[in-house]
Amino acid sequence: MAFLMEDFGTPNFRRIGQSAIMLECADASMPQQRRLWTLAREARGWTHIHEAVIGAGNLTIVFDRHALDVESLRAQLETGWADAPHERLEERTVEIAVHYGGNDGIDLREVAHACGLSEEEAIALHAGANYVVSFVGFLPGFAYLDGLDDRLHRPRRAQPRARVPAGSVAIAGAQSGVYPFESPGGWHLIGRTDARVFDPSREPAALLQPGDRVRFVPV
Amino acid sequence: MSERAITIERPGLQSLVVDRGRFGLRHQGVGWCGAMDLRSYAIANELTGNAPGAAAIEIVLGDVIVRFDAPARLALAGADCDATLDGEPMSTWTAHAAHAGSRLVLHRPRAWMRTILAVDGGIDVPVVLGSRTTDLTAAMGGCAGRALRAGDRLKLGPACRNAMHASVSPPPIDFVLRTIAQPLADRLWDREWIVGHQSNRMGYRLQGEVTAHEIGAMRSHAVFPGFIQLPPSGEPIVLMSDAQTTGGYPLAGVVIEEDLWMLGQAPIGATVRFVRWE
Repeated sequence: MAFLMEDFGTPNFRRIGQSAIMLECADASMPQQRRLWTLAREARGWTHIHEAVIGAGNLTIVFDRHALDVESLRAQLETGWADAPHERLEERTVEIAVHYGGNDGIDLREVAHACGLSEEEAIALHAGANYVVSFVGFLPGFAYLDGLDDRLHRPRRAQPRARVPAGSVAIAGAQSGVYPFESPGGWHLIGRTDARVFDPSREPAALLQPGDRVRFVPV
Repeated sequence: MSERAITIERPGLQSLVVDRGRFGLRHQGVGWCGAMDLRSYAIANELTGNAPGAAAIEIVLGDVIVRFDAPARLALAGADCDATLDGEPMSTWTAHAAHAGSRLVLHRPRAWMRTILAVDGGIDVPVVLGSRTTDLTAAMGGCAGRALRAGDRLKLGPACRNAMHASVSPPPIDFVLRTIAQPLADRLWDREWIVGHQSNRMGYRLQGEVTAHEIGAMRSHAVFPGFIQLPPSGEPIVLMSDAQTTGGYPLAGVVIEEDLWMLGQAPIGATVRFVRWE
């Protein structure tokens, strides 16, 4: 068992600003990420915690610095990290219908070409993969999805677009995502969905939550 | 008895319903979107006798007309816009009384950037995800998730009885921002920064003596208002109220919470400096 425990290592702690502390894992692998989901959910239940935000292999806690000492918070996080159960979150699969290419995905042709694929092959690879929500960030409801096929990995656009349409299905690096709102963005746009990725009248407002499995369905 | 409300007759460049912010949802990607100058916001609410989190109106560069549909106590804090109430000069940082039919006129300010208009009872727009503040990105909160327009009628909460102060002195402002060092902090100190054109509620882009740098593979992490990011150009971006919730650029520093309000008052072209804060 010992070698299994070592896999998770001891996280690094970094104080950022007056009221925030960041826990950094050795890497952003899925087992580490799973621990972060659990730890973040727990930490949100602790007193004097304002925010618990997951990134790629890290978790940042914003706390009430007048009520909580940073060293005791750090100790609490260390214990929480070590004890974080391996329980899997309730696994949900969300299907998202996508209109690929053309005006709905203006970068599909270029991406396919750069990857040495036809547009049809690129669509098949994107829609054929099983994705997992690694974390939610950037915009309300924007889920960073791990699981993109290696053959579709592309660096971000050198020049981000000032306006990406709402509902754009995009890829960058090893990830895919859906833009919930019109916003600036540097990912490659390969399709568009009508799904409401964020709706403040829904509980939770974000359609995709960490740990959710996602599949894209061409329409 | 008329309903307690105000009507926007002229909305100006950008007027928003704001409060302290929408907290506890950054893990869902939801930003805080609170007032850009939280200090003036707090003072204006205090002058009207409001609870600390009551919603108010944030006005960019004046040029606003508001009609009161019922008697109310009001206060302006932040940029001084040579305001008049029913044609009489109305000092900033001071509580005043409006009656039904009163008109408040704000002109362009000569200094500073934003004015907070607080009215007793607060602006009573619906609470969305725990806050009344406007989130322009998600088009939620405030008045239909957008900036105010001519003709918008905003209800007020129940009238307040008590206010502690009738007037306060304006807080001194020097645009020297006390900053907690992060790994790339050496690039911030001992130089002047100019607030660039692409500065808005999401972030302030600063121009000055910069060095471009290579950015390796960065892992996205949480970011917050006050964080100073260094993109590859080396020109710092100070994240503000509407900042995204995660980002990947390296950090140079974090402006302390007590000083960030000053940046919310820095017009484009203003000079700001960072000093190390331990």
